[in-house]
Amino acid sequence: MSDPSSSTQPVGSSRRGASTPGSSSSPSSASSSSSSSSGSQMAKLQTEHGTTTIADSVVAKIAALAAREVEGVADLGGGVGGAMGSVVGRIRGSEHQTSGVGVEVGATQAAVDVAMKVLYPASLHQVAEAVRGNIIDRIESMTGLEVTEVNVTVTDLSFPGGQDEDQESSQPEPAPSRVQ
Amino acid sequence: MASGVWSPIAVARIVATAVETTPGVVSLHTGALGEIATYGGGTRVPGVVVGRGEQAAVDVHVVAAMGRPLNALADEVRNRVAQRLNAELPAAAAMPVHVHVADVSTEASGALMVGTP
Repeated sequence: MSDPSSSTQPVGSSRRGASTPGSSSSPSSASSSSSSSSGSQMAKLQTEHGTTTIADSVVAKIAALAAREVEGVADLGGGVGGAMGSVVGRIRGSEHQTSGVGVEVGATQAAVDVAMKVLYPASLHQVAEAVRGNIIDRIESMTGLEVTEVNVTVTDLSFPGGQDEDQESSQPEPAPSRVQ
Repeated sequence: MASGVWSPIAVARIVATAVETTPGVVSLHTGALGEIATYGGGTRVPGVVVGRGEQAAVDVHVVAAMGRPLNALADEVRNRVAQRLNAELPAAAAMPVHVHVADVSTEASGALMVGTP
């Protein structure tokens, strides 16, 4: 297994930093080398007595579960996109499990983009590294696909007390009364 | 291919039973609209598509349980289908079996979910 050359992008805790996952990355190495997938985006394994195909959503779900397993990961997704995603996810049912996760799947390889919120005191790059390792392990053991890269975007920080970072701005000081 | 020897519905029923009893298969997957099925006179078998004619093949759509390598699971599905067809309808046993893993289920899963909040 080759070490995936991938980047960690601690975008910071500001809302505006929550960009679309994968917008600055180019996980094209997986798809460019899988020209034999005959138009299908699914992983396909030809055997003697038939083929096995694994849907992209399966790969995304495995990646999402693997990311959530890591200690220090508060949630997947994040920012405005995440909020929209969770609304859509609630409407569409099971889809919310993979919000914040994007996958590109070829015949034998897969590339993953994951956006996540991290619990505050944790080391961002260590959590990102653990997420990357766990996603690679799970996808490679369950699907047999080679994971070429996992791009991790930290979209937000989460605080243990459940308070968001913009707590101060959401509770403005009551203006002093001007009349008795 | 002597497609008149067996009916697709009969093959699909045998296949569906074999697939559903495979450990690691949560259920057959019937598509977003339930359209994946073998259709016959007055009945249908969801989750299994039996083709006929020149390129007769069986397509099986499954929801897998989390925690087991999917390729191994697909191989076992294929083996069980071949066994059942061999035993019950040998004329149809030569067809290739294409296994499509359409989803994984986290609810009915085993070891992987233990420990997650």
